[in-house]
Amino acid sequence: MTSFQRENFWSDIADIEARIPEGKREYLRERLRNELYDFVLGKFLEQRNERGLTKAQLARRIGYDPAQLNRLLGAPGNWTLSTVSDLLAGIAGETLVPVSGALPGERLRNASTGDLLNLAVSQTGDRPPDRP
Amino acid sequence: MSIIDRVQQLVNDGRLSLVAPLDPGSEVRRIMAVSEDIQRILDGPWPDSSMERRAYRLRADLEAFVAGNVLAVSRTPYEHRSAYMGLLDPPEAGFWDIRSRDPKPGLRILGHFACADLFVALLWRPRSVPSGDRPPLGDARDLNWEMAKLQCEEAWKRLFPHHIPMTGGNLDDLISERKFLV
Repeated sequence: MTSFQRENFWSDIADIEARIPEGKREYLRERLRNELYDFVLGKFLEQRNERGLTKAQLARRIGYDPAQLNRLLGAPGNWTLSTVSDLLAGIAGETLVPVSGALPGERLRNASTGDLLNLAVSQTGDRPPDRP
Repeated sequence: MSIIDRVQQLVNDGRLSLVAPLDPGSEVRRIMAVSEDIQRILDGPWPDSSMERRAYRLRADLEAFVAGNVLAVSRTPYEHRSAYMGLLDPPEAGFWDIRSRDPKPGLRILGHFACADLFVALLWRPRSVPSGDRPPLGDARDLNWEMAKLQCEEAWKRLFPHHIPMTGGNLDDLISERKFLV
């Protein structure tokens, strides 16, 4: 039985000779799906705010059934490269230009609770008031 | 004591853990604190490679919340479709589930918002097929959903006897930015 080890997570990914376990590849695949989703939906939110783009307009523009578009905008699980291409073209008249980046290779320290909480509080504003 | 201080106390005591991105270059824009139950599935040991893959995929899905990714959110119980997060029935109770849908077993993470951008994930359940000794939640109105919500409520009260979860109000009060209503 295997278990997760944060400090060694990237070591066999960084080692170009090592086999990358299936679980880690699954993590990287899902992370990529989520990043693509974030990128494309971020574009949609931008265009909605700036140009008033609606889901109905987008569906018409790329010839998708509105219900199908709704499902695709809800989650990236069934996205293909064609989906990404259609959505980006329809939303912003753009295409994806691949740029890959090295994954971290260094050993990770354990996350500091205080650091994370303070960081999140500093990024989201003042601490919320106490509630009863 | 503020609810953030309480979360920190529970993390220090080991009763909650914060989801931290595996990539040290990732931003942390929201907080997710997970129960020991959820930390166990994230960390293993897993009984087989299938569960290992499932756990890693769940980890990536939880990191999407923490990284501040755009979240597809449904506030209409029973109509969550493909949303990342959905408000459960009854809406005024403030139960939310995070939906890690593929591959089978699809998983649901139940919990509450403690304040804006701070989600406390309390328990996990398989959605449609059993996982180990955990029966599936089943369809939206299955009794197992009610059981899970009850257990979620009990878990919250054990951890936060003096605080109530965020309920109702504006979605901006729960997720301050980068969300998408479905």
